[in-house]
Amino acid sequence: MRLTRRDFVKYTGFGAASLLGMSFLGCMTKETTKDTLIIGYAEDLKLRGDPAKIDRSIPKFCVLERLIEYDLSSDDFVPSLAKKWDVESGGKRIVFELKKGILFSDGAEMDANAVKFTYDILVVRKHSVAPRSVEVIDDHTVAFNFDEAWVLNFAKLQDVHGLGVMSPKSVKPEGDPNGTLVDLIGTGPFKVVEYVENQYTVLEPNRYWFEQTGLEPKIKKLIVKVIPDEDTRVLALRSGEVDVLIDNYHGGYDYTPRNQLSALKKDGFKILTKNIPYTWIVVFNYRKEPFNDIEMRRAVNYAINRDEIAKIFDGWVRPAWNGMFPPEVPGMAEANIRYEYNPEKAKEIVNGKDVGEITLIVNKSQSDQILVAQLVQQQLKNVGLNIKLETLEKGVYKQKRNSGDYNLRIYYIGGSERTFYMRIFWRFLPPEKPWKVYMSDNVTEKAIAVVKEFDKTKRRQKFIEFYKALYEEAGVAPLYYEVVAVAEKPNVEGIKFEYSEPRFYSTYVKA
Amino acid sequence: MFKVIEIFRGIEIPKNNLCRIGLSVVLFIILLGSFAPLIAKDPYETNMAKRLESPSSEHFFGADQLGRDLFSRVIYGARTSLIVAITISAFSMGIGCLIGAVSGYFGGIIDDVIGRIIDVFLSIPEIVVNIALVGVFCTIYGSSTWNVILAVVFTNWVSYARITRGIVLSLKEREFIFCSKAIGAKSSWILFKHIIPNALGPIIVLATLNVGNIILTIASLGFLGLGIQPPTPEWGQLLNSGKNYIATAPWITFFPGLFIALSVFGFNLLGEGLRDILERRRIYE
Repeated sequence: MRLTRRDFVKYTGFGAASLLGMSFLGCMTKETTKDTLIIGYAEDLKLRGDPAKIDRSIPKFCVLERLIEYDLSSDDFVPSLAKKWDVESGGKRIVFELKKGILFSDGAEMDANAVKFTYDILVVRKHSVAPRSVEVIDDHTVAFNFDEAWVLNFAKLQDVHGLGVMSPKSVKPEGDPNGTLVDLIGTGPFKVVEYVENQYTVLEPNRYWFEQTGLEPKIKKLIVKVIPDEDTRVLALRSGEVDVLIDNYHGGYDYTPRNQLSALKKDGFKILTKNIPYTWIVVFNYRKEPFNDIEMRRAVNYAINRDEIAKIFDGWVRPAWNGMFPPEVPGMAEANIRYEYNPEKAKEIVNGKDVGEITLIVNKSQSDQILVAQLVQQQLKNVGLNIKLETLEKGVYKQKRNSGDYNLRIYYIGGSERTFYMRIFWRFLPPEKPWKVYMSDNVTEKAIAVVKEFDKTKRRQKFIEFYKALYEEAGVAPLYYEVVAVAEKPNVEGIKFEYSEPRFYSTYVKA
Repeated sequence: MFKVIEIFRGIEIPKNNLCRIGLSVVLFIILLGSFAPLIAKDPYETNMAKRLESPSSEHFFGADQLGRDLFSRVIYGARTSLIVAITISAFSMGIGCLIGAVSGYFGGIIDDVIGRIIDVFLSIPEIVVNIALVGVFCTIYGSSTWNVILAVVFTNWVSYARITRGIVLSLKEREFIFCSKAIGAKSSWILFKHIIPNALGPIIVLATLNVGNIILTIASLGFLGLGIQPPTPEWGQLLNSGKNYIATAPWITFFPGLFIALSVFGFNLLGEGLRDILERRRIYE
């Protein structure tokens, strides 16, 4: 068959139009969503080596799940991998019945042996949230034994410092609680497919989790990039290198600076926040002068204008006028505490005393806290206290904190919801440790009463007594109530908070 | 003003206008720093009601994120930067001149060893060493102005040593040195009484030029959060604190940046001018 010029033009024109049409269609379908979400995060996820040391955020709420969770709004421990439980021996023994048919991301069933293996990792290391022992009763029943009969035992099982249930195949030798972590395998919505230490981790949806929940994954890959410096993380978001910034929600030192949230929002980024039971405070070195004097501690509390401190962050945080924790924390609103801003009263107290130079130490890795410390320094100066501000490297800060070589320091109490109870234990209960913030016979006794009490109603009353005792002794000077924050590009959708953690199982990125 | 300086110092101010501008700028900054308590407010006083306020008749340079008067912080920052820069320059000059003079005067193996040490220092970028050293000092001893001084002096003496060595190599062949030796003068006497004083001209030029560089180094360290720590006002640290507000409150970065640029510009022009004077003298001699 001879091809005429007219045919040639006709066929090539048709072919070109078809190609163009297909490419348009291709673009339209392909560009509706991107299949990868890149998260900027301060810490390496620590997915090799000691399994007890995996990072406290993404591996624990994306890859692993726990037996129970804690719901702050109702002050209840609620089921997760455990279906139900019985408290025995007055609270020293808790027997959990596990849900059936839960699969690890490698397809193996999650059972009592996996639970025992996981918690034995903590037991052999004498970890602070470890039970005394774990017993397998049958494939789906497991018992935890504790030394003390207190409600804190529940808190330990879901605390971020502990572990979620992992497959015994996660370590080598397989099933050895002393083994080395080689491949973290959990039951959560994502599984780890690649890990490069201190650089990045690639996660993919765990199809068994999605089948179980009836949800559809909207992204194919979740990449967690390690960017330790806070300013560099913000620049990575601005430049498009990452889609989302999340806090190291454990608290402490690595989060998106609150003083940059407004600027990010103004530039079109979305900021999601959730209130958490976490408060930045001034810690007194109450073992030595001048803050072994309750009057001096009160003077500091009178001198601090918490509204001004919250202003540094353009309203992203709340001033801590109402006690140690925000009002949504069990018993806090009922405690009816109100710190007073009264610089004149503070001056009266300070005037009669010769206190000399007072050292305020702050960790310089957080720009937020450096600003707060400068403002606190000035507010205290206004009432006649001569404050020397020392902005220190993280290591030097810890060294000074541990040796007690300071008068005041900026620190935090509380944390995410799941850490709420353990932080009360870690900050206010004996034994004496550098990270304790205040202990006295009265306050400590009341804090112990809180963490012992199983009955929710009675516990609420004990919380109130504890808060009031701490307030009356001016044990700490609360500054502001923190939030957990996510900063994301405008095209990221579907991140939601569960408890205090951002979850990504329904997240997608518009192209 | 220049006439007074000419009479007072007994030196000729070159007709070069750029040098005059340099001297004016340097004097202006020195005067601002010296009289800071008279012309500026308390640089530490916060006022959250004035947070991020733009420049006005009350706050010439605006206010920072804690409502502090930025003009006062920049002026007090001049004090900090100049005092630290001059201290570093003085220490570096002292150490560098001594090492360079010993190296050049005694020669032989001493010169070889010192020469190689100088080569090693010159082969490494100064700022990298400064950052590493300040980081180490901060980690061990905590933040202090002395960390910055020590770290910068550690690398800065080298240029003085190199220049001094070169001058001494030519000076030691001069007749007055032979005469001193002939009458039995000790080496230390010759070094301190004859050689170093005669080498001072070019060294002072170098020091003047160097102050500008040191101000930049201090500001760089401050910008990286390694230098002088808040609340002490220092230009680099002020720049750093303003970078998060560059879109909303650009004055926090603009004015410290302007003063850094001005001071470096002033010291460099002045140094160039002094070099011209020396050059003329040398040709005349």
